[in-house]
Amino acid sequence: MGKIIEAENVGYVYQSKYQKTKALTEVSCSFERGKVYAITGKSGSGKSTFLSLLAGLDVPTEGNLYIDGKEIREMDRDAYRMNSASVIYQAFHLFPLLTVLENVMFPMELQHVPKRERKERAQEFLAKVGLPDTLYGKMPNMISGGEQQRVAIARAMASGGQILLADEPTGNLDSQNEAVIVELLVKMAHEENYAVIVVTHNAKVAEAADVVYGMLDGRLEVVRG
Amino acid sequence: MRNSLKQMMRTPVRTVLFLGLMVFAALLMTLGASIWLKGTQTMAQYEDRFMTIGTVRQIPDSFEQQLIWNAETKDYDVRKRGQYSDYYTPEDLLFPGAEYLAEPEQRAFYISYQPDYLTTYVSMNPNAIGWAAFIAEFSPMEDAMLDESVPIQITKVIGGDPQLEGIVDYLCDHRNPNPKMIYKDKTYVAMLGHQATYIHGKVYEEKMQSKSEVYIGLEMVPYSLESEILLPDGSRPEDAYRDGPKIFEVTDGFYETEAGRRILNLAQTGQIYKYCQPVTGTNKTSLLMPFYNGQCFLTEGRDISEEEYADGSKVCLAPKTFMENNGLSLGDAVKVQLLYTDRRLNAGQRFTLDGGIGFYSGLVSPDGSSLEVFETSEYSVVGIYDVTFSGTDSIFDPGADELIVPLESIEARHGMNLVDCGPMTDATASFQIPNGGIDDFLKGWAEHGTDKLAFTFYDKGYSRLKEGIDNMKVISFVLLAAGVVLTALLLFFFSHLFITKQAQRTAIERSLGMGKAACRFSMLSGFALLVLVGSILGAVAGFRISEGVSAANAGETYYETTYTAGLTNAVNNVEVEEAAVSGMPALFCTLSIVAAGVGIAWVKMNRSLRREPMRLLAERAEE
Repeated sequence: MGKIIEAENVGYVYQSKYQKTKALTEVSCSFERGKVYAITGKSGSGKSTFLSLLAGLDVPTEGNLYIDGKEIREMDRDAYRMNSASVIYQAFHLFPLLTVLENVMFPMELQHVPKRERKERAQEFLAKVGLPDTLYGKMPNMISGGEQQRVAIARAMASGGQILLADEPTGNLDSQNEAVIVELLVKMAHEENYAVIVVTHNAKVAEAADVVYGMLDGRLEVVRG
Repeated sequence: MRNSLKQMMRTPVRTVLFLGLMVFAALLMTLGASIWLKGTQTMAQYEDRFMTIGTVRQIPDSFEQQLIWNAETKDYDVRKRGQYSDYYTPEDLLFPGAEYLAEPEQRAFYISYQPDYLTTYVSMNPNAIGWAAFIAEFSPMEDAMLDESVPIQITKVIGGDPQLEGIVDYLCDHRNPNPKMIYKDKTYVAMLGHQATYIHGKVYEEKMQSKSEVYIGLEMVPYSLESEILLPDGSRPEDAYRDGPKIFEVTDGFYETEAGRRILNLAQTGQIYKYCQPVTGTNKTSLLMPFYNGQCFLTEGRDISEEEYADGSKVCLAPKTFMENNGLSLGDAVKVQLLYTDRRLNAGQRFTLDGGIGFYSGLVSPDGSSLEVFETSEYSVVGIYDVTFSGTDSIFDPGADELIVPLESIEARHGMNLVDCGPMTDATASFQIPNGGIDDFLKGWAEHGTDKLAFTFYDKGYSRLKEGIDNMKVISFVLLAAGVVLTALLLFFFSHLFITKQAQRTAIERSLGMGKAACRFSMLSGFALLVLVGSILGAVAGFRISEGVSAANAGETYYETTYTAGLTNAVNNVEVEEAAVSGMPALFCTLSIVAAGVGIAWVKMNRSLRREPMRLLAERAEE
């Protein structure tokens, strides 16, 4: 299994008008398809910043980050997010004014997939995450948190990429839904060959991961590999 | 864009409220701007049709009581007469800061002796007996004191209508407290005429008692042989006949005496009133109120041009009746022989349109010699005007047969053979100032002038029109300002709701791979479309309403000056068609609102896009 993401001495400095804050320092690691990675650490340790770099929403201020062998600075990062990497969040972040089905169809709309096809595929993804079709026409605020996160996972699948980035995906869920989501993430890695990278505080999520990294003051260490 | 609209439509209350309020704001803006523009255009369009004329009247310093003997009541009548220490002149009105479009003028009118033309007087009174001051020999029917009406027989007409010879009428030296006896076996000569005194005394009593006839006609009175001619400065020269005898006994050689010669000279001019034509010199036709107010209007030809006025061309405007009475046509020349000058009244006050004449009785030089024509010239008729009777005996009425000529064309324009002189009056003095300049003029005059001159302004309703339009502009400004403020508030508030508060949506879109430009378009397109639709609907509605307001004014608005502001008075009114409502304000408002909407949204969108999506979404997760 080849490395899909490789970080070499990645550093990141937030530069505001008045001060510079070093969020990441010499982070070196790699991620492969078919595995679940957990990145643990305290709040403010740099986990989300690292995830932001992995999502191509920003670029490292130091070091190099390779996606499928290409340096991220040289990539069309919008296209990368659209086609290769998806992010799910603790607060789900679905479009509140689009239905469940429309939320899942949205990434395919950006890819200009024909309407009928994107609808069929969206239904397919929703079925994969185990969401009953009675919910497809509902607005996000009409379904539970677990269901919303499943919709978010289905939307991530809809982009067609092989990298799933998750920022505290179970943070707002009860234990029952938490288990369902963890199971889904593992399934995506092991059965669908995704590289699933989860930033989490949750020990259960970390336990389910194939590799666990710990982030402390912007430095990444292998906890379990 | 479709997704953007779809999401907007899923908050229908907010979206419809925004759309409705945008329509209302655009309506206010468009309505305000349209009314503002229409008012401005209407004023500009009709500025030339208005003209502000001021007339000047000198207020007497005091009033003098004159005692005039009344033979009927055997007492003095009291008459009041205004006294002026000095006459103000038009030059006195040239105060610093005064802005005149036509400088003040005090018009005299000149009498042209026209024996070769048929005058209105003659045409309207072809067979009338010429009772106006005539000179005749007469004999009383009995010896009598002239302190009452005495029957006399006219034996010989020396100057006047020959039809009067042989007529028996009544004579009284009515205004003389010390009248003389006249005797039936003697012949007398005098200038006789009717004044407003009625037959009275023994004759009247007898007629009343006999009840055979009630005769209440006018008696004749003797006129003074005093010359009417004043010195050039308007003062009255010495004249022995001022308080001298009026009735002379005709004896052998009487007509060789000084009094006799004066009588013969007076007899020469005694009937010229029948052949008199008033000529008015001015610097601008519209300074003459009958022309300004439309009582006189050109039926043929043209007005005297500014150049002709300036260089004193020998051109004139002639009345239609005079032209018709004399078989004259446009372009023909009228021979003018100026005989005397009146600087107190205007032509209409002496030569009334119905053929009446206020004549002068003493038309001889102060030394008793005959009056001579002082200027002869020919005027080409460039315009023929007609007159409508005012029906109110206005002081502004034009004179019968009145010729209008450039003042500069009269060499002796300051007046030769001056028969009367007086202060500036509304009928003889006027000027033109810019429209809307009344207040400034009065303010300037209050600072530099005197309270001895009073002004009356005529603006054909300009003040009222301007006041109306200014009021309309204030309203339109309020509407426009309200529209602008409301639009700004709406754009800021709803862009906050639709854009700033949608930062999460932007962040999600970004995290899903949407580029910044696509995010911007996605967010702006829906907002901009709502702004565009709202502003178009509002602008169209505003345009329609302003059209409706215009239509409600029925296309034509009569600005009546009766109620116009300040000292202005009604003369006649200008018909004002309001300017058509332009679509430009609607277009301008729509474009402005859309530009402002897109601009505000763009700024807010950029702020949203500057925020790092992951951090934003993470923050929200912590919330």
